[in-house]
Amino acid sequence: MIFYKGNIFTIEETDDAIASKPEAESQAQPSIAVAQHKNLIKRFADMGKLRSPDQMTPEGDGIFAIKARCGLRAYGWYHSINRHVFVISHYICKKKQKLDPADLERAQRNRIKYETFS
Amino acid sequence: MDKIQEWANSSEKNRKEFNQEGLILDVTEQIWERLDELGLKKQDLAHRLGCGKSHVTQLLNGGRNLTLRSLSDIALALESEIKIYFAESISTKNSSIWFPKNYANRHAANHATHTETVNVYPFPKVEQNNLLERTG
Repeated sequence: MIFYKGNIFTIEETDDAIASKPEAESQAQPSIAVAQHKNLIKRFADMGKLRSPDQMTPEGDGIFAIKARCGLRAYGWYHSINRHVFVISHYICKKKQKLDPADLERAQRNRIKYETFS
Repeated sequence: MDKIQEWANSSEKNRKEFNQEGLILDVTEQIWERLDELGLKKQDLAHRLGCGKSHVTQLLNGGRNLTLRSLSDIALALESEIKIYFAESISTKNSSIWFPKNYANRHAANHATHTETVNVYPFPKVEQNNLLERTG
């Protein structure tokens, strides 16, 4: 499902992303981190990149994390066929910087499902 | 209206925070752009500012409030100067938005995404060559 259509990228969300977003955003403290995260996604879609290496990081196997302060992050990937689409796998709010392997696996599973059935 | 704008417009608090964070992101992304142009890293900027790397990290991720004084210091450290203009909100009157020469194409997309009434334009280099030509 389309979340935001930018000048460079269209941001789509998986069902898991739509389902996980409310809980992740409710855990983000202070709440202004949610506004920052939405700005990061919008900026990425409009400009094609985020210059800050801290705010968009490769997590391996073509999965990227868009990170706001206070641990709110969105995992996603560039669509393998439509290169102007970035798909958000799921949202999560966690303090530690290091990637949880379960998040990578979850994103990989969502990618297979999304690209197979979309 | 897209879902992000819909969220921003859903309450006064969201609208304010979204615009605040948009402005912070505009500024910090321009600092990163200037760092790239100069081939500098965050650590180099910290060294030039005489502060720790973690302080610069907090400034650049919006965790620490970026005051006009610290912004001025950053511009000086990056051999740049800052130009700030107040422009009429895009949502109010599209035609009134003014972009400095040569910035329209590069930054129109960025600025067009916000309904800010303050636009901060990226650090133009000080044109020392021109000054030398004029004085010489």
